[in-house]
Amino acid sequence: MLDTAPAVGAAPDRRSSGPARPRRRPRPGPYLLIAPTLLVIATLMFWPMVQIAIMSFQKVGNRQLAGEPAEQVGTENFSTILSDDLFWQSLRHTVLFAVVAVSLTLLLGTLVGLLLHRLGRRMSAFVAAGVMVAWATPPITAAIIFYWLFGSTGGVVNWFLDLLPDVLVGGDWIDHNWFATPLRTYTVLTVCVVWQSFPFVAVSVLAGLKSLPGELLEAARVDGASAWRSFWQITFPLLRPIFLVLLVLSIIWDFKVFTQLFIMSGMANRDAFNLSLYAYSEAFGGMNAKLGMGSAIATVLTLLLLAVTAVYVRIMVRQGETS
Amino acid sequence: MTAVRAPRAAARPAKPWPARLRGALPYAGIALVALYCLAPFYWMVISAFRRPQDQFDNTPVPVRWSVENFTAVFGGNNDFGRALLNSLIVAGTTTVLTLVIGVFTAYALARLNFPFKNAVLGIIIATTMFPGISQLIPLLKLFTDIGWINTYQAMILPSLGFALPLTVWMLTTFFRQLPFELEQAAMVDGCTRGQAFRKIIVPLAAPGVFTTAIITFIAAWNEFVIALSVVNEQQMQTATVAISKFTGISGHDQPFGTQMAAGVIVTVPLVIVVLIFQRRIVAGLAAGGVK
Repeated sequence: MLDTAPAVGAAPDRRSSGPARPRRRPRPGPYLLIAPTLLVIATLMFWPMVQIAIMSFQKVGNRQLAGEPAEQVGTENFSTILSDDLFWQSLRHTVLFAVVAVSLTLLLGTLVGLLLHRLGRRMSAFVAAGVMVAWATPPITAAIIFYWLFGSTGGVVNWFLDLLPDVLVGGDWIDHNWFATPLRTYTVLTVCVVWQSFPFVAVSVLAGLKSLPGELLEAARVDGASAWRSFWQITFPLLRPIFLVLLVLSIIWDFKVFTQLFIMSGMANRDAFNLSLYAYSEAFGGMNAKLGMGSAIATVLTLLLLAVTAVYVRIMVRQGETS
Repeated sequence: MTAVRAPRAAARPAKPWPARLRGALPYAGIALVALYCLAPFYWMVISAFRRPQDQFDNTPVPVRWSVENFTAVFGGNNDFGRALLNSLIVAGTTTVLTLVIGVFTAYALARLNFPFKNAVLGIIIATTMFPGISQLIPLLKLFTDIGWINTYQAMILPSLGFALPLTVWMLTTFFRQLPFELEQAAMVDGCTRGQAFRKIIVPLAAPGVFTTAIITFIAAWNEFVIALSVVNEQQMQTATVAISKFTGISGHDQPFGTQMAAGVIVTVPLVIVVLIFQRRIVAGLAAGGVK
């Protein structure tokens, strides 16, 4: 900007005489174009965030919903949830689920991406189509399908496991209740969420692989490098930005899983709550709405995600600059 | 380096067994991936076409095919046709609004230089992470206060908020790839900036915009928790909410057959669209998430 300052200074003369307008002066144009988006994001995304922060220090129940002013309670909501075992259990579930689901999603997605890259054109399109079917299925439908597959009466998974030789999987599957304990519920939830989220990883990895210079991998193969080694020595370092973004995105998505758990486990099953469901249940679940409590939990969840997002935004903005 | 080492690799003895195994490995991989991806989907379709009394059968194809589940979806007190219409209105309006607002912003971000551009970009990307629940609580309170419960706008506006950042980001990525030299050339030839934009850029950008529209529509169509919370009248339910509340004709036990049939109705159109535009959508997803 500084380097071009003299040119701008010389511009007014030309403007009065010719059609060339000075281009360097900040113009209102771009801001007019982005204003609507910023307005929408400010009112629909940031305003609620501020409200959440305010409400987390208030008591907001049915009476307040009916119009009474909210009552300031200081940090009471936070001290209540922090001393509640259910909160810590929900937090543990949220984090553990995210760790397992994200790892599996990335692992499976990367493997499928590599596989798609190796396949011939037609086969690759066919498998990609199959993978996209899982991606396009609405979460609600996916949740119901997996709930039904793992159901204890007539669920096809139990039936199949019971058919398998007992040495492999053990016996007595036919009445196995997959939703009896949090661990089992989260196993099914993981299978379901990974099913829906690995396609995105797979197609992204595939897109990345296609952008790699083919000679590099060729050279490695000629040099006698194993597939394992050439992945870690060549592919992975080159695709590191992509993997980083996929990692952060997967963490963000899996941290806020709601719909699937809501369908599979529901509001009554408090043992299996994650933070989203816990916040929802505190806010709207009981006969008496406790929006303040729900807000406090949502604030905690948001702060956790904010830390992850900071990393994400830095990568994305930097990538945007270089491309 | 390559040339020196190459003979050694060529001289290595061929290993028939591992080599054959390695050749078969991709196919085993395909089979497993296909099974994992398609089996649940297949089971949904098949269960939908069983007779209700056969719903716990485990045969790979129905013993007796029946569309009874589909008639149940639209019959009784389920009123699924209305729910589909609601979903279409909400998702359609969200998509149109999002695109109209997003296109201009994305153009500015991709094409123009201005102070604080990266800050704007950062804010837009950051909002994609906001957990739905923290938007929901204050918005629900607001909508209660202003009497918007059971209205379309109460479902459309939050969806717009969630969809817009992602849409802007995807469109920005698409627009960055456009050959803007052409636009410059047109301006040299005497077009105004507006004309150049309309005549050169819009036709080139149309595929990207179209792909973004599909992805936005799918996201809005699949939305669940907002529609669940801001509506308590059956007349205003969207399809996803209606499915979660199905009671079946008899209204007693879990009506899996009916839910599966409804699942087929909600999912199959999306799957068809995705399969038709697969290549574009894959490009769009890769662009939106990665670069």
